[in-house]
Amino acid sequence: MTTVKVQASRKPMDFAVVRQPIWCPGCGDYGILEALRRALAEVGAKNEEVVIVSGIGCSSQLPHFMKTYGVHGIHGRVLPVATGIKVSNPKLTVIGVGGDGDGYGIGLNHLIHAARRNVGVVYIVSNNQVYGLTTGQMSPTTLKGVKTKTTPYGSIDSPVNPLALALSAGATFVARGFSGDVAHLAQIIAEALRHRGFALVDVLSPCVTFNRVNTYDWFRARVYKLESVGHDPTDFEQAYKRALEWPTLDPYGKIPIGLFYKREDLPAYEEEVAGLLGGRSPIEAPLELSEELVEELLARFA
Amino acid sequence: MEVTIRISGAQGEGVESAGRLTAQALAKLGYHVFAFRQYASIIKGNPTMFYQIRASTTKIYSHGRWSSFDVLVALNKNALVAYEGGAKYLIYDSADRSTPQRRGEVPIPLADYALKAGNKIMRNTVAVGALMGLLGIDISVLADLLKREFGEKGEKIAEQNIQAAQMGFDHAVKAVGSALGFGKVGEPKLLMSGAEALAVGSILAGMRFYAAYPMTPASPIMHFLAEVGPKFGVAVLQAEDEIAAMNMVIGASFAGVRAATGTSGGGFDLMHEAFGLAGMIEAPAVVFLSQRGGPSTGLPTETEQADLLMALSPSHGEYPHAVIAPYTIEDGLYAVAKAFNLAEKYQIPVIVATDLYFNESLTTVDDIDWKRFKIERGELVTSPVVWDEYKRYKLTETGVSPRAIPGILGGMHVATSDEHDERGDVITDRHLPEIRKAMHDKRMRKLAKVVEEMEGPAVFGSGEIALVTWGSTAMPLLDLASLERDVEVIAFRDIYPLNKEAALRALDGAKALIDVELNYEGQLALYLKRELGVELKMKILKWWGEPFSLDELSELV
Repeated sequence: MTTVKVQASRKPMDFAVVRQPIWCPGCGDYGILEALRRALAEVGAKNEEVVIVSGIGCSSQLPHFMKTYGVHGIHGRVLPVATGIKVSNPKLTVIGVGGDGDGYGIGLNHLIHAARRNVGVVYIVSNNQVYGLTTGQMSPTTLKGVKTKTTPYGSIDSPVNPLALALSAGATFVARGFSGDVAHLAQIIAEALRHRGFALVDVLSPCVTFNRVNTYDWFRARVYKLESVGHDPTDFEQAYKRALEWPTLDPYGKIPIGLFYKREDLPAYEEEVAGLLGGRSPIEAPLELSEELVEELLARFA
Repeated sequence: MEVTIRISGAQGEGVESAGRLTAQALAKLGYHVFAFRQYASIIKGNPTMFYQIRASTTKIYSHGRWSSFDVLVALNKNALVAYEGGAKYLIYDSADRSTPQRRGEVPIPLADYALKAGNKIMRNTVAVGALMGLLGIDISVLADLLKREFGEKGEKIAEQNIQAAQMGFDHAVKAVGSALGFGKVGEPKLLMSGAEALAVGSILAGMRFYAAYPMTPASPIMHFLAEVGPKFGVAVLQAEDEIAAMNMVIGASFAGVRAATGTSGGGFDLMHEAFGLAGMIEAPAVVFLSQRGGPSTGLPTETEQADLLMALSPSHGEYPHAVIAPYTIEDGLYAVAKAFNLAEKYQIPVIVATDLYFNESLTTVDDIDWKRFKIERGELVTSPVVWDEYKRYKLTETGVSPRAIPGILGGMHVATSDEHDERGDVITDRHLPEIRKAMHDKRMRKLAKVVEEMEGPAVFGSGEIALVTWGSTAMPLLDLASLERDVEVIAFRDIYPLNKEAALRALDGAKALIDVELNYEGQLALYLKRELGVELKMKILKWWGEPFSLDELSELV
């Protein structure tokens, strides 16, 4: 992982608000909140230029605990809203936040399309392998065999592998963090914020109330850092193999965390759009047309 | 002076371009033109699709008659047999019928001439050339259009087409002379489709973001914007589905850009949840709801007006929105300008409801009123605010609150789909009925302000019989009112929220009210009964995919 320069001018608390999170004590989302604040401070973000878009679920409450702009939208539609914002005004730092149900269930479609478009959004998924806010149903990342309210005899569905999926879809930044290691997660998010194009940050984020299987201890016993095994994040094939390790090949085996894959040489979607618009973004385009432009527009119908 | 021409053939045989060229030629000569296309959901086939082009020296708003017309151009035998009974003059391929059976028949070796000019595919061009000859239109008018049309494909193709047209032209002139005498009557007029009017209106109204998923008959809006928009600063995104499209629009709007999407009924079904989100977070948004025959996939290439009740109340819960249904294609330009202003001034989603007949028909437009494109942004915050004091959803008398967009110092807030307080903070982790009451009321009372901007129905003519309608069905009715005495047309355009006083004023004067709509239930009548207590007992309704035509209306009325 590359080292990042700390800008003394911004502190994590600059992004905090008085209102305290309403998550259950011990929830993994606290780790994500803290890591995000640190990362934003680290990259020197300005409060008024950050927009955090969320969906529905416990983790989607996050924008309310940040002193930034936010859209707390509807279930599963984080990425379309974020895409609309980023394309309209590429100067903004646009961050998507939501849970595994939001992003890998009802909204999975949009993950693939945001990835292939390479839109400049950092998408942080709080992956707790259960539906928390609706009190404990199976989620798309629930491991096969796990009992939940809707799978009382054990889940018969195989889990989604979001990292392999994102890599297949053409994502140019794919990483996984762990809420139990905030410093490491903050580094990943900071690097994602500096990335050109779409970044998926999947976060292992234990639900202490409804998921009694995938606990902090469960993860601590399994996670290992990619940087500690000499993983090369510019190597797509290596990244894909690492992504398949968990949960696809061995759902109860070791879990790699860190940066799986990154490439910076592809243009971001908002750059492509601005290219079509003559080097400006929609927010920069004047609302009113000059007389010459009106004439040009109408000349098409003559 | 007036002419109605029907060009018919199989889909893929060139009816489309023949129709458009004919309409363009007549517009160039200064005629008022209206052109309507009847087709099916198939790329190649359907032997009797047609393009009906009507031109007149007086203003017209519809394709005119359905069962009779002046000229039939039949590109195949099926088309000839299907429609010859309605036509005075027939242009057809002599391969389909070698000897004329009555006066006015102009058999032409379309395929032979096309082959001689270089390619059999140009049969349609030969036929249009012959049509020009019959109409008495100088062949140079068509030649210019062909140069423009095929210029991109290379000079040779343009030249071949001109040659093909010339052969058809000469043949027709020799056979019947320039029988109809359509010379130049004025300055060239602009010719645009309804979809193009919506797109142009949007660009003029300052829309700089359009996201949509392809769906007939809304797609032509996106086609035009994708091609022309970038030059004017419009980003056009093809979304992965309508859900994404509507949410993208909300994102763009939140960022401060005027944004819209377009779809038909089925796509709008998918947008409902996000449409309600726009209402809840008070994000301006415009949706072009281009109706076609429903339910489900229904009649994908045929027109209908059966989504009015849906447009009045899409999505769950209560929230303010507006519905405008332009009643002529020209009015589409202004309706769009109004929609964007209403959306932004009142921070609401607005539906511009049209249909296939509106979107896909071509018409001449003249005398555009530029004053109607004034951009009004309402309570948009453009300078820094004090964060501790700023309330995005401040309770105000009008219900409209100051809207800060990202980038504005101090304006940070969360736009929340959950019920929220004045600062946008979610309140649903507690039971706070007082805040809910206040915020819901704040949003809903915006309607009282919106309604002040809603105009009453447009009234045309006067008489014993008043035909009450909405949207594009006004187009054939306006033509009817100019033909028949004693017929009044009351066309609802600013539909929701309804300006009740103006509506009652318009309806009160008339003796006999007849509801005319393209749906089964009489949805406008149901709405007016609910809102005004006025019952339209007589109804003329149609739900089988055809617009109303002058001949059937005359008979029914």
